[in-house]
Amino acid sequence: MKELSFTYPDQTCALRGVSFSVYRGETLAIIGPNGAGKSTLLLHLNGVLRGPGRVEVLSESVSRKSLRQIRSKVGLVFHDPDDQLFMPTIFDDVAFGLVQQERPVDEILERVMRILRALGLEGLERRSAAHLSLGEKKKAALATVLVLEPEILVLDEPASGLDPGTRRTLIGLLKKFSMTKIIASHDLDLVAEIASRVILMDAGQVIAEGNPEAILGNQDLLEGHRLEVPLSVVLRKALKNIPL
Amino acid sequence: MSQTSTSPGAASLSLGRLDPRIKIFLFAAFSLAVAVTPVSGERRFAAYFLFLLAIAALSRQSLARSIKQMALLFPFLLGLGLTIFLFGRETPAQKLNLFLTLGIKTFLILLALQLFLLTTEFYRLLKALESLRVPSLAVAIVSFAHRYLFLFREEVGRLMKAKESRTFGRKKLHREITIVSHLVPAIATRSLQRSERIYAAMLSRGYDGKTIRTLDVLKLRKEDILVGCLATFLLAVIIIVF
Repeated sequence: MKELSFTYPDQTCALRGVSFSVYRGETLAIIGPNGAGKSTLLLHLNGVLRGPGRVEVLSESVSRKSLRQIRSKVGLVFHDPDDQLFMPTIFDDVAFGLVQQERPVDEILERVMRILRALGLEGLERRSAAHLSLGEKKKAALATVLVLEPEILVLDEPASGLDPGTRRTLIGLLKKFSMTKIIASHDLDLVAEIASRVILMDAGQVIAEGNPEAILGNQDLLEGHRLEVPLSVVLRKALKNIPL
Repeated sequence: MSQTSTSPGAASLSLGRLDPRIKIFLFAAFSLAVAVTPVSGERRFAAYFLFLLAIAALSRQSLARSIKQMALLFPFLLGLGLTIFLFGRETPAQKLNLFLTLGIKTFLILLALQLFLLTTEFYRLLKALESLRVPSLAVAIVSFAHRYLFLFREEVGRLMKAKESRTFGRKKLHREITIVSHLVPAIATRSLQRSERIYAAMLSRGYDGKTIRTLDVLKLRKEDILVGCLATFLLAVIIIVF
């Protein structure tokens, strides 16, 4: 991503010359306060939004021509699962992308059921998302993109609003996936646990970039941008200082 | 979370398994038969009611409950009655007869519709509409309306609670109207924002902005055709005999 900028029609400038790279197989976390531009940035990764600047995904520039191919490689999970689950049943939602790709029916059935089993959603396939819990909705939203076997998984606030048990299950699942992951989150404990690199954004700009220890352990940096050092990092530091 | 759709327990019903396309055909045939029944066809109306009663019994639905739910429609029927009595050149007896016939016809058709909806899972109904070549845009609109009606209701509920929590003293009608008139644009804005996010989610999973395709899961079985033929035969018998 090079010099990417984006302004919404109401003249809110969400991104100002953002540049960074993501390496194959890594888990990149994008952190920042509300309104930092994280979600807007994610929407550029598969061409839902397009602003001045250059976005290249797997050596291919995001353009009108390449959208179909890029969207099959980049799976985007939205913050609110109700935005992602728009079909009458969970089965139809998970199958949606494959049906758009005009895959054979047998393959669609097999892949949908496989992913539902893997995420513990078997038996819910005929339900409407309206009747699921938030945790089930989040998992179903994840299933809708995992079924497409994306090379890059992009998640916007994956753990927000979840109870501790469901959050732990989700973290376990995310750790299992070997594809490249880009996660925008306020949950800095989650970031500390799964990220291999962290980018701090504020006011539509990249403020800092580095390994999780360097960014998440920097109290001044985080507090200067309306964030705080995650409890897990505080505890780890404290335990290091206790003489055995 | 015991429900799978808006049709409570639809999957467990014996008629719930019947192909929804057959049900749509039967509903249309029944409605047509009721609509063309002459004013003097009291015995035939009774036979139609028994026909529905049999379907309700077969599908383990309480007809009494369905009739109770239809009580909401009675004001509309009364409105219809008023129109008949206020306009037209018929004698009062003829007007009364016409009102009763129209009332019975409306009642029977709506009862049939309710039985049809109660025994059909919503997603199967949508699939049936798709396979009957109903324009995909129309099916999509119904599907989205059904999916987001709950969320819309929740959002309205949240806004109303927020309003209540900051309302002190006695409620005054003109103030209430002012507050609600301010809530309406807020709800509209939220709905618009959500629709934009949903569209973005659709695009990101390969939607091309044209047709919403879904997997066709309906398979017409021999039993479906048999039940369809039997029910059509019964309707024909009612029309011929009564």
